[in-house]
Amino acid sequence: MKKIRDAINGVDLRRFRFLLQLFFFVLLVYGGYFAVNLGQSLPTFACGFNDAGRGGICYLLPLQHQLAMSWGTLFGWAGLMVLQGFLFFALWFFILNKGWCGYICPLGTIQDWITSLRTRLGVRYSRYTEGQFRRLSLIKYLLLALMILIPLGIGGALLPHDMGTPFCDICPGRMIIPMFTGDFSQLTIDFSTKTTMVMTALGMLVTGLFLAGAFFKKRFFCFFCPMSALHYLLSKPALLKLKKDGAKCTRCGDCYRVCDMEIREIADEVKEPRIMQDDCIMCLKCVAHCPEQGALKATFAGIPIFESTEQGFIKRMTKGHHDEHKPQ
Amino acid sequence: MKKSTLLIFLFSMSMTQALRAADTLWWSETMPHAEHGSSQHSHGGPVEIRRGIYHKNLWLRSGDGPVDAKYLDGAVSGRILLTDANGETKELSGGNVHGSYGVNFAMPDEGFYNLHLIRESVVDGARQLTIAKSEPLKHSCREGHDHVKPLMAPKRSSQVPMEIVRQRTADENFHSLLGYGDTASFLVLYQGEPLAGAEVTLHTARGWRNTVRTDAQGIASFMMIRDYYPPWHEFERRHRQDYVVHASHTTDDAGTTDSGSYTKTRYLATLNGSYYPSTRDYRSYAYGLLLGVFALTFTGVAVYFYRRRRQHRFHEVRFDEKN
Ligand code: SF4
Ligand code: SF4
Ligand code: SF4
Repeated sequence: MKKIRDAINGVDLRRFRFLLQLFFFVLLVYGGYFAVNLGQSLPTFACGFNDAGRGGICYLLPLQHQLAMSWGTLFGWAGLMVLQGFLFFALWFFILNKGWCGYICPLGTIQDWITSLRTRLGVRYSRYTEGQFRRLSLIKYLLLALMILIPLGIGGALLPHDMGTPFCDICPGRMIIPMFTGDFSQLTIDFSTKTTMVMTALGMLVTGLFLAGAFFKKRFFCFFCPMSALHYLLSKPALLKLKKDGAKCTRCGDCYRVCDMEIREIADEVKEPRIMQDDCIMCLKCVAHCPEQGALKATFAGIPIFESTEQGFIKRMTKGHHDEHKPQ
Repeated sequence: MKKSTLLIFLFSMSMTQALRAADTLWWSETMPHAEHGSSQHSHGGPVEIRRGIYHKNLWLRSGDGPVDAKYLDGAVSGRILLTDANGETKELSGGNVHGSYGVNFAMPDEGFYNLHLIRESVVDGARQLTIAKSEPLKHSCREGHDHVKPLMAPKRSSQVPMEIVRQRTADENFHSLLGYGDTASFLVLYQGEPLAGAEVTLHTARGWRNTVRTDAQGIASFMMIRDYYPPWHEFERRHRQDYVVHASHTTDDAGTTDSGSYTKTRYLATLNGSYYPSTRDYRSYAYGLLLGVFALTFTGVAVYFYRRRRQHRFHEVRFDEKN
């Protein structure tokens, strides 16, 4: 038992994560070709616009669709259907918590690939200042609110109907994910009405910004992701958890330095054991890079599944060291 | 009591408008007096939702194509058969639907419904059998999309002598729309068998028409032309337009009916459908890519200059120990 524990704790997380992300990417982006269908309440960007290949559908798409129904319908029998969709979403999320972002989300994976491209090109990455960080991380809640209020407004005939799925209109997932199955039709401006013209133009601007942003900033988009905001509202009872034992932490700051989401609390917070913050994507890089035995750990239903150990840290560090000095 | 009869009031026979025996009859989804091509789905349109169940309205029209065909005021003789999504057939009666003769029926299950009107008449020693068919689809995204594949195939009716069957495209699903530039194919069946060499005519909403003959497999194909030229601010991408397909076949079947004896028989089958603007008509890759590339380069260049500006050359700071 201890052997297995040690093996897991000493795992090469980078490689493990890369492979797992690749697996889920194939599952969600090409799964449709193999008749995979995980339903339409997935708490991750398995973009529904990827008609042919999708192995399931991103919950934000049906959510916006449903909320845009006329109020009479929505607050009548259809309300149950909305509730049911949300329940499935919550159930999926309940199991893996934000692990959906760190390991499964195709859009997150694409950002990580862009990051490795940058590293290979030797371009340095950007970080936000603390003030920027605080202000920017509010945007996702604003997007979430708009994503709910606009369809509701349409249902109540207060807003034009062609704004039906406002977030999808500007979501980079819509442009980028279908491209992986050879569908480039989303890279267009829709001139059929003024609203669609403005929204699709915004969408293309966001896509350009997404690609450039993800190049300079790790997980650039995840800061603004309304899915992530929706996640955080539910993450308290989830089974997978990130925990910290403040007494064992020496505040070396390693975890903060490796964190793609620049979460300061991961190093600074020593009192609260439930350390997960709203931007966390549960990539567990912090756990892998923590040199203190048991200071950081991931637990599933209370059982520790991956924790920081000195041996694991040393193993990973020396491996990274070798990598860097390999002749090119 | 059948729900479908709620809205239908049978007209008294005295009001029947004289329908000539040779008139072409076809089903239309466009509401009488509605603005032509209205894509309305709310009350009074082709689909009404009552207590969560879809109800379809179809109106019978006489005349060749959507441009000049009349709606009918009075009842039309003939049998109306409805085959539901599960393949079960029952007889329906028509009546006044929002002001003109039509039918209204419930579509509780997902899939294609087949409606046939079969009308027989004898004029001047020739019998005419008109078979007007419509193939409405019931689909609600709430039911999901897993069940769609097996429901795609068109049905063939054993109870009609001749019918037109719209062929499905390879990747067709419940959301597929026929657009300008797409090819629509129709199989003509006579007594259940493909009929080669039959004359088939397609009429579009604005009066364009084309006539071809079926090939050896009984199939006739048409490319849908662009048929909608509104000013830009009035463009509707879901602008629904009707088309009608006719196929005819004459045999020397002779016999006698209540209305007289005849020496030949003409079969006339019709099928209606809808088509829409093509997405190619209002989507632009050029502008899309232009904006995307602009945002990408702008951000890239902005970050580059921001970084340059923040790079300070190293200055050694010397302290003058005397101070
Ligand atoms: S566009 Fe974005 S939000 Fe909409 S379904 Fe695709 S990934 Fe989800
Ligand atoms: S936060 Fe990032 S990883 Fe999570 S759903 Fe949004 S885009 Fe995907
Ligand atoms: S806190 Fe840890 S698990 Fe969360 S994003 Fe940062 S490194 Fe990943």
